[in-house]
Amino acid sequence: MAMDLINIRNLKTYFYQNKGLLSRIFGEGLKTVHAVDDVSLTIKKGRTFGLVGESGCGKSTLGQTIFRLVKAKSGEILFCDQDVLKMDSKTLMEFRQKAQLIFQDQYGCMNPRMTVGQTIAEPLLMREKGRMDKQALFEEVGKLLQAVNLDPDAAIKFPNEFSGGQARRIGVARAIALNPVFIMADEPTSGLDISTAATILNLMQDLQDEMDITYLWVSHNLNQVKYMSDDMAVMYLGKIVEMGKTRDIFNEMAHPYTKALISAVPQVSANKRKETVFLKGEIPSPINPPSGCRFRTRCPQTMKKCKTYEPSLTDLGGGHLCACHLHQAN
Amino acid sequence: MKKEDPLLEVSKLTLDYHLGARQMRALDRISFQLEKGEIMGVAGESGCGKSTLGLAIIKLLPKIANIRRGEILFKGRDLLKISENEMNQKIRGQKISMIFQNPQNALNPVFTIEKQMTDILRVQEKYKNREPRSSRYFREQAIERLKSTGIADPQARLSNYPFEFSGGMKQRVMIGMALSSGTSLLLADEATTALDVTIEAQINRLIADLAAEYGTSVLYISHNLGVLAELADRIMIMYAGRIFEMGATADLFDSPYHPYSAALLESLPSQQTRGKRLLSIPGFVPPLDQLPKGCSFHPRCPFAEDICKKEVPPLEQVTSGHFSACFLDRKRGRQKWQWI
Amino acid sequence: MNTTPSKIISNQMSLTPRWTETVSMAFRSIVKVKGGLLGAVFISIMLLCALCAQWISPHDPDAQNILQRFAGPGFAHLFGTDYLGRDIFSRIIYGCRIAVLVAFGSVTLSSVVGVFLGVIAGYNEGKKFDYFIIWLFDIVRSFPQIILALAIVAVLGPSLVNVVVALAFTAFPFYGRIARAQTLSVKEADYVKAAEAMGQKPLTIISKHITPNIMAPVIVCLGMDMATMVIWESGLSFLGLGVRPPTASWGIMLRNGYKYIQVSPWMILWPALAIAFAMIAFSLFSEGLRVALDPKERNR
Ligand SMILES: Nc1ncnc2c1ncn2[C@@H]1O[C@H](COP(=O)(O)OP(=O)(O)OP(=O)(O)O)[C@@H](O)[C@H]1O
Ligand SMILES: Nc1ncnc2c1ncn2[C@@H]1O[C@H](COP(=O)(O)OP(=O)(O)OP(=O)(O)O)[C@@H](O)[C@H]1O
Ligand code: SF4
Ligand code: SF4
Ligand SMILES: [Mg+2]
Ligand SMILES: [Mg+2]
Repeated sequence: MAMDLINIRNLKTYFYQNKGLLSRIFGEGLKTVHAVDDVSLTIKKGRTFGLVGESGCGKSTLGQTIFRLVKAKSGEILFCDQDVLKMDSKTLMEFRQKAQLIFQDQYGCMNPRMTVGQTIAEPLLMREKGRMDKQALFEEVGKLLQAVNLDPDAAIKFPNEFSGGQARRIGVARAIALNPVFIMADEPTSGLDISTAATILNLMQDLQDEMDITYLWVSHNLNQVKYMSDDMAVMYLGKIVEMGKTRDIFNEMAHPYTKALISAVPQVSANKRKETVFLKGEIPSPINPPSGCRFRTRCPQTMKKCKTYEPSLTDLGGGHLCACHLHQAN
Repeated sequence: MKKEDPLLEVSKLTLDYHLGARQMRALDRISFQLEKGEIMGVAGESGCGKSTLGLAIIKLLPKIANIRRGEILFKGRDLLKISENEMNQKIRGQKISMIFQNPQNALNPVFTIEKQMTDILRVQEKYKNREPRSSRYFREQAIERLKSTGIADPQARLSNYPFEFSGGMKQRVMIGMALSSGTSLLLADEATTALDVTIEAQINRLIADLAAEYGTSVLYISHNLGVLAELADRIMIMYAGRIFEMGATADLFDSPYHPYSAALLESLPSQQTRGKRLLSIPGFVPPLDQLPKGCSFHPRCPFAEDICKKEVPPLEQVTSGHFSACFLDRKRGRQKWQWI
Repeated sequence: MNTTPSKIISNQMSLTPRWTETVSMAFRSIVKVKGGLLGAVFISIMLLCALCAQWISPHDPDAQNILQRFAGPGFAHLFGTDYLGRDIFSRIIYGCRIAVLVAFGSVTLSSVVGVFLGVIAGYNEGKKFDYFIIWLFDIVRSFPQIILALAIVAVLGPSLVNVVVALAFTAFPFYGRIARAQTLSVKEADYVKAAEAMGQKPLTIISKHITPNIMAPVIVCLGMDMATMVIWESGLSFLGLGVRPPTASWGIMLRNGYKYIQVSPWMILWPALAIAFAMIAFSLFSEGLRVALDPKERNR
């Protein structure tokens, strides 16, 4: 049985809007965005945890909260049994070198006034505390660039001189520079062509096999999550609605949202195409989430009790959890 | 019945980026036609010039780009000869609109979403020479646009700054700005990469509706072959600035002529199960100023023969409406390319 | 498996482009802007005058010649002479040195201090330090600038260094404000978060990632401010609170010329023209900078 690397318990991250005094007095008052609302999950060491869900449901926020880039409201994040949220600044810095992030915005995560070489060299220099032979540094950067299929000449260019996919690969190169034990990959291949994506997927799998890296894998590409991850969770509006082994979820999806999601996956070959479940109804906002089940405004199978009672995550057997009244005992 | 002229006709478009002394040929003799209401899917290796093609059509290329040759006929007029002024007032944002690949760069971090959306709407309105509208009108328009792309609670969201939006929400702002019934050509550059499949399906349906009802033609750039398969009428596969294969969607995906297209289809994760390695084409795309002689794909192509190293394979029609640029494709016919 | 060519060494063993390339790129983009070139030429002339005053000026600026008072422009004295018979042309050239020193000195001092405080305040938004800095900025800004400068010089005593310090003190909150506002938006950028996530130290983040990215508006402001500083130095000197006479300063020359305006209008005309020239030079240059630094005006 694999060890737990990250254990998240009842994590909540809220954002507040209308912070200004005037708008608080005269406007609609303080608004709260419930970006991550009471999420608990466990990521096993050396495994890949896939995270999927609607755009804006809080996946990136969850990832960034793990790194304390945004402030959590409550809950705990245990990394090797140490609570990240309670770390002092020195331990936090050590943790941040062991864990890395691949950002969703491939251009935004690079300083536009630094060359790509400098960007990739930054973590290397940090590890060596600034003392590193120029030649060695240069070669290391070249190797990292090649590892992600880029020309080493790219080092002296600036980020805006790259195509979207090339920029994305630079982000990957920077993240793997320090041989981290944990990588949160926020859509690491979106915008990449298939062949390059395949290279990156292979590369990341090799890294996992060799160095036992753990991934939190956020992606909209369900085929990819199916291919990459061992366990996965489906999020909707700040909450986890279904979680379990990837195989189980794809084979016996239980939650209506998961079903809609999987049915919408576009297929290349015509004979595999299924009927897409288009979700109708009002899209709820994380500022005023609906009462009861958060999916009820769009759920094709909504019932009366969904409006009043919030379904809790219940085990359907074998660690397959689902939060829906259809699958609850009573 | 006389066949209608194509809405867009690009012929022999050739473009270089000048980086100091280096000349990067980002587009090399690109020729294709786009009919009214047609959706053309564009796929290909990253860095092969897809975005550049889109930017060239809407004439928003960076200054270091230099169009060498070719023409872009839009409704019979060469866009390359139209003045910047006319482009701004009559064409960009009205007849031709583009959804940019990276919305984060297109949005200014220091202004609210409302300001940025209403500013663009205002400019569009101004050139339409209508009577002046109130700010209320523009605000409502902006709300309408956000709503059409599935952003919840748009009224409250308008006052947000870009960093308060998730990646997909920023992308939807850009989509909302580009989708309007008046456009005759929509350039969608990886418009839905940051969106989950349900929203993506919803937006793609919106685009399909535009094409079907208003006759908008779409150049749909995407790496997601699944999406292209469901949405596009025709597919264009590009590599290192050239078109490698072009044909009707079902035709091309079911039996590609070109070994590169075949490899793309083969590298999809859905074809493999967990644990197996994905096919990734060996080697990498050469820098665009050091392209090999002959077929630019030959160093990576396991089927390459002597002729591939010497001559550039021309893009030729193999069957009706299906073009391919490979010396071996006719010889092999529809036999499957055996990668791996 | 993947056959990657083992080409690691590129032609240039460095992670950055050569600095000469960067400088020439920046210069080229300034010069491309209409007026930017003119501004650059004007500023070069001023710098040349300031650096090589002793070789350019035909006469000693302080040499008096009672026999040649109030001479009009001519061959012996290009711009004429003043009430002590000193050569006005030489004094203008030497005055340029003071103008340039004050402009660059005070602007550099105020922007360095202002940006430093502003960035740190912005990075610590909402903390006590931030409130303190904002309060400090606001207090300084609540005084009219020129009066504040007058008061400081009056207390410290008139001298070149004190003028620079006084002018810098009146201007630093403006830089601080700009820097703080810019920092607030830049620090939300993903590349700052990326550096944080890497475990980078806050000081490095501020110096490497934030400061370079907030400088564009600051630099534009710098150019504008230099023009203002030239005027204020003249103003202070005009009021007798600037540089000590007999040092040649345009403001002092104005003051003296003012007294003899009916005797010899040349004495006031030339320093006034010099000030206008400096103003135009700095304004044009800063406009060039603004366009050159605007990412929208550059490629992509
Ligand atoms: N800094 C912030 N301030 C205020 N609200 C924020 C901030 N960052 C995110 N949000 C809000 O939190 C919610 C979740 O955003 P998040 O970026 O986590 O979504 P996501 O699941 O990553 O979506 P996507 O797939 O589109 O990237 C959104 O409603 C977003 O508007
Ligand atoms: N502003 C620029 N300066 C220099 N080179 C550029 C610039 N923009 C693009 N290029 C180069 O031109 C080539 C084509 O870029 P383009 O953005 O069109 O690729 P793309 O096909 O859209 O790739 P992706 O799928 O990764 O977005 C790339 O090799 C890129 O490095
Ligand atoms: S609890 Fe009710 S509304 Fe929610 S997903 Fe289940 S059936 Fe649908
Ligand atoms: S022309 Fe030759 S090298 Fe090019 S794709 Fe065809 S077989 Fe391969
Ligand atoms: Mg996200
Ligand atoms: Mg692109």
